[in-house]
Amino acid sequence: SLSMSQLSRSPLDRSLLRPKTDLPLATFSLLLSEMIKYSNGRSRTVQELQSKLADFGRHIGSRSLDLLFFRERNGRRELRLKNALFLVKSSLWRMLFGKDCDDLEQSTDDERTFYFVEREPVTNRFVSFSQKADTNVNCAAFIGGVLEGALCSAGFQCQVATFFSNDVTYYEVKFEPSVLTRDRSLDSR
Amino acid sequence: MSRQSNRTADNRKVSSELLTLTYGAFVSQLLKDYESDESVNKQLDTMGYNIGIRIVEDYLARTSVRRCGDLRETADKIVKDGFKHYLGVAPTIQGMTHNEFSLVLDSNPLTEFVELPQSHANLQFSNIICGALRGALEAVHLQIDAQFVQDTLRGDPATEIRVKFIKRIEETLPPGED
Repeated sequence: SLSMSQLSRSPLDRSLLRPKTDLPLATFSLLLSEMIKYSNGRSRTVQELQSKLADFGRHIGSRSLDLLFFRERNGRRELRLKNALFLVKSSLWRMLFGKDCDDLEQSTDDERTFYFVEREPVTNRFVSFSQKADTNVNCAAFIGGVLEGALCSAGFQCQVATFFSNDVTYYEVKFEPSVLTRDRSLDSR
Repeated sequence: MSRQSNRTADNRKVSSELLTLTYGAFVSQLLKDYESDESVNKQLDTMGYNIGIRIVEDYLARTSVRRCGDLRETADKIVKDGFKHYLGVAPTIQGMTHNEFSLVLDSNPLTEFVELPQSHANLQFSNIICGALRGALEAVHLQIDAQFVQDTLRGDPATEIRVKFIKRIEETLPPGED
């Protein structure tokens, strides 16, 4: 039967162009909540916990951007920094979280630093195991990891730190100098 | 506690791929943290149990339902309100007896594009679902056992969870377990 032959095909044979399925945020939140509890139980400091959550995020981010290029850009990768940042802010966020990130800003002091700004990260829906305001940051560190994984996988080496300030979540992206140098050299073509 | 958006009106969605990738990241981490596949299976079952209890809380907060009359009705609810709502897939109910039934899954969002390496032949990748079934049903005072008896991920022709009713729970149990 048709379904039997589909089942015996390797995942590599399956099409990446699939009808989009959406699930309730609750499903994702419930899973992430358990992942945070698990990681918290194996962390001695808040830093360690955030680092573990960022690790999860990186796993996801590094697998997402190429998929996006394949599906929405006909396989064409983004080579310019600002275009890549904008693509992540809009299309990647939409692909994963069902909405755009709210804002993207460049630091006024440092051309290597950009800020993604989000009022309601999808990880904010629940805060179950701690009363501290820190918990927002913990959860959003996961998204910071997604961002870092995605950008690094596309050749824009960076480090992402997550902050919470004035009710808003900031993902601070700091690029390696080589990324800026390369981008500038593309200007002159 | 938290600035949560209005719970009853919260119908935000995320892509199923986010779930797939997130779950994959987690199972990968568990495989690094634990020595044996059996330990990972157990950890997934425990986490699933906790999730199952919270799913029922979420479910009861969203809907008003009456107690199911028999096992068939329970199975139907699991499929329609459990799997269909939370995972976007509706398993078929098969092999129904007076105290057992199978849920046969055509697809599973947790395993999209997943391939199991030979080195983890004993891993029940989606065991979190069995734990969730156990936790959810315990939250409505039914003690059951749920196991994958077939999984396409492991080379079987179908993916099938066998659910066995054990007994009704009379006393209230403390929720959650570590």
